[in-house]
Amino acid sequence: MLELRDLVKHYRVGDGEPIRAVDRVSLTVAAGELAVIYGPSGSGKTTLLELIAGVRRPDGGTVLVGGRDIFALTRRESDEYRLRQLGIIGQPQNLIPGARAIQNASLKLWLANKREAKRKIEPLMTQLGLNGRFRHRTEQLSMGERQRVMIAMALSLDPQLVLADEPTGTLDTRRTREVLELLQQICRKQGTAVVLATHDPQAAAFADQVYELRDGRLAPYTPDLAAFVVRESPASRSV
Amino acid sequence: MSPRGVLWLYRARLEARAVLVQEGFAVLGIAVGVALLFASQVASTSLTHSVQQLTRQVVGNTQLQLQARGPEGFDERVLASVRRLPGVQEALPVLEQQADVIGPSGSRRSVDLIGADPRFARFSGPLLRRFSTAQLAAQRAIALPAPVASEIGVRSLEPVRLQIGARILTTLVGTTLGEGDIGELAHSPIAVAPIGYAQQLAAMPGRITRIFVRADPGRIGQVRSELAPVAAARDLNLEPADFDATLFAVAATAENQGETLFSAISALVGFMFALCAMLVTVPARRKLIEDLRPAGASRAMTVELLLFDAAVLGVLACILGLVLGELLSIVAFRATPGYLSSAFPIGNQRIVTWQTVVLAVGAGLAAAIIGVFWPLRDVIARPLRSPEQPRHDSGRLVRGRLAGGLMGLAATTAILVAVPQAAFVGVLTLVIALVCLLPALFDGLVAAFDRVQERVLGGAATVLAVTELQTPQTRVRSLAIALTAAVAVFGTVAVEGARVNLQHGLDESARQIDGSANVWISPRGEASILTTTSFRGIDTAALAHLPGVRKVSAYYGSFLNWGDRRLWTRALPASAYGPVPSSQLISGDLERAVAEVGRVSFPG
Repeated sequence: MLELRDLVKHYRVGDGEPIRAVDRVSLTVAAGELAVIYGPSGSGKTTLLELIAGVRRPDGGTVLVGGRDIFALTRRESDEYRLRQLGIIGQPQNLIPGARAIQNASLKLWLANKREAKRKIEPLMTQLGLNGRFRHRTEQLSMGERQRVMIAMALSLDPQLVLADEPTGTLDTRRTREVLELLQQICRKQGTAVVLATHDPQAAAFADQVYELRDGRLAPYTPDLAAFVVRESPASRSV
Repeated sequence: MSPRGVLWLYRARLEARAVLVQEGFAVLGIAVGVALLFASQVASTSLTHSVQQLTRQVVGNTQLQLQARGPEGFDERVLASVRRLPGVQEALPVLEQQADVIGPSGSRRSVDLIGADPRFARFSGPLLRRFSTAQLAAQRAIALPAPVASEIGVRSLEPVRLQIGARILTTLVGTTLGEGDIGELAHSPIAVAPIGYAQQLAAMPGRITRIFVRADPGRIGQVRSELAPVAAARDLNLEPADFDATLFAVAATAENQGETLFSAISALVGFMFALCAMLVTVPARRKLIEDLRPAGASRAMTVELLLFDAAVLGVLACILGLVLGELLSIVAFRATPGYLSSAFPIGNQRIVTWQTVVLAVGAGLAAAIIGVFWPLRDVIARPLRSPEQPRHDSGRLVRGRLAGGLMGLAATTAILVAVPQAAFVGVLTLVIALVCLLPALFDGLVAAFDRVQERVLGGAATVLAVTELQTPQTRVRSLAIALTAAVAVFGTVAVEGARVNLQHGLDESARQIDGSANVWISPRGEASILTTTSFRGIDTAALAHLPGVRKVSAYYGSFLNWGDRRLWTRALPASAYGPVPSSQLISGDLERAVAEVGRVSFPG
């Protein structure tokens, strides 16, 4: 479903050395697979997702979705790709301020001229635990609820590929697990390919492939649990 | 995206109260601009169209006119000789006199008394067509426009006093004419009577002031050449029938230039005001677009959404602006310059043409569209994510702007000094100069303030203020506000300056003219303000013998059409002091001018 070949993206800041946000990344995610990418802040996760989404142009390499190079698409095809084939689970601050949860969640359905927007989005929102929150405005929702609205929007058009950038960053453990289960379920049932960029250690358990992105380079993920514990709880070591 | 989808998204955005308030501000900002433009245009159009309407309605389908050079008119026997000329289909006499109608309570209104021939009922415009030939012939009454009648408190078939020159007599209001009868002309200061009766009222038996001529088809050139010797023999002007409208257009040029300048400044200030208000809405709109496009909204969808935004803003603002402009034109833009109203019968009708509405609405919609699209042009045009590096103005661009700004300032100064009548162009060059210079000035001021606060003030509040001023959004908003204020101040100074200059010029010449006597005697009424209304029946010898009176002189004033200008002509006695006011001499020798005028003055 998704194939990245030697993808490169460098940023130039002033006259200094370019920042290698994505450096010769190759990756294949089949339909129905969930790939998790770990990486510290600034490691290039978001840039990689933006390249896959086609919202940023790479300096080199190709992004193939369903066998098509997304940077060879016409503008119209590119828009169609983002609208119908792709679901992006972004940050909660991307919701329309003041709008109701159901309005935000059904945004893509309206962009795609789906007349049955409300009928289609309500079960999905219910499945995401947003029952009773349909009419709540963005500001009346908790961060976790906003995140779930974003997920509902991303999944509303049954995309073939879902890109999720820290989708569980603002959720509690139980909700995180539910969201990860949901993403896995979508992979399995609908044959959707999911690329998930996250810090959450739980995610690996749901993944078919797990990678780590460091200085723009992609490598198989090997969790260093000891180091992880020491960093998370330095106080315990001193005690 | 379907229209329903666009509407849905618009409603979703407006759910946020902050967005609603911001859009409200934008509507108000554009509406103010539309109102200013509409009101100034209505004022300008009303002035010109008022005289045009009266001319058109009196002239009807005649083509030429013979016109007297003074209010005493000419012998009506000329009419018979004109009618005998080959190619003349019809020749119709008119007697025009300045008069005051006085109501029962003493309130008065200056009017143009029009005495018309009964046959005008067939040839003229709607004003006289309303009357039958028999009615016009038999009436021994005057017809008044309903607003004039109402102003002085008379109704149909009620007596009214009429002052012509120094004579006051009583007549009957035969009928009052409303808008249903004569349209917008009902607001013109006129009184209509059969010519025979008008001659009797004006004590001018056998005298007329104009003959309107209609030629046989295709023979207008021949008739004109035949009329020329008739006009020359009797010191009459031969002009096109609608020549008064031409004269007025020339006389009103200065006023129209002022109105055009004011309209242009109103449009600019309104536009800048609208843009400032629109800038408040930019962040929310920018964020929406930046969120929508990665979600799959195409550029066409984005443009559709923005167009809908602009249409809603523009339409609401135009409706509000037209209502505000209507009120403004009624309350604040109704004054007619005295120098025009004394020489032409200007009504107080407000004429709203479709061009005025189209101009105001067009400007409002343009402001909305530009206000929506211009700040977001980079988001719409660029790839989906912003360039990685923030753009900084290059030194070359800054130097170019500075040079452009200085050139703009120089051009503005040159225009205002050398060609002040082209002030409108000066406004444009000034705006260009401001657009070029303000960013550098603003940045310089903020940098200077930053240094001052570092060395002297050093408080957290001032640091925050400087930081806030340096953010791109605040900087753009501040620049827009500064530009608006600059144009508004310049416009106020320019318009007010022009008005004061005109007023000073008129005051100075009036002082010099009035200064030749201590006391002036003229008939009452606004029409007599320039002493162009002739009168008899005053015993000047008796006045001369009054205690303290050293000398009494007769003074003669009139309007004379010269070329395409209506001149105020004055004939003074040879002994008059200062017959040529120095303020009226543009070039040449004053003493020689006084001597030349003195040679042709009448003894008084």
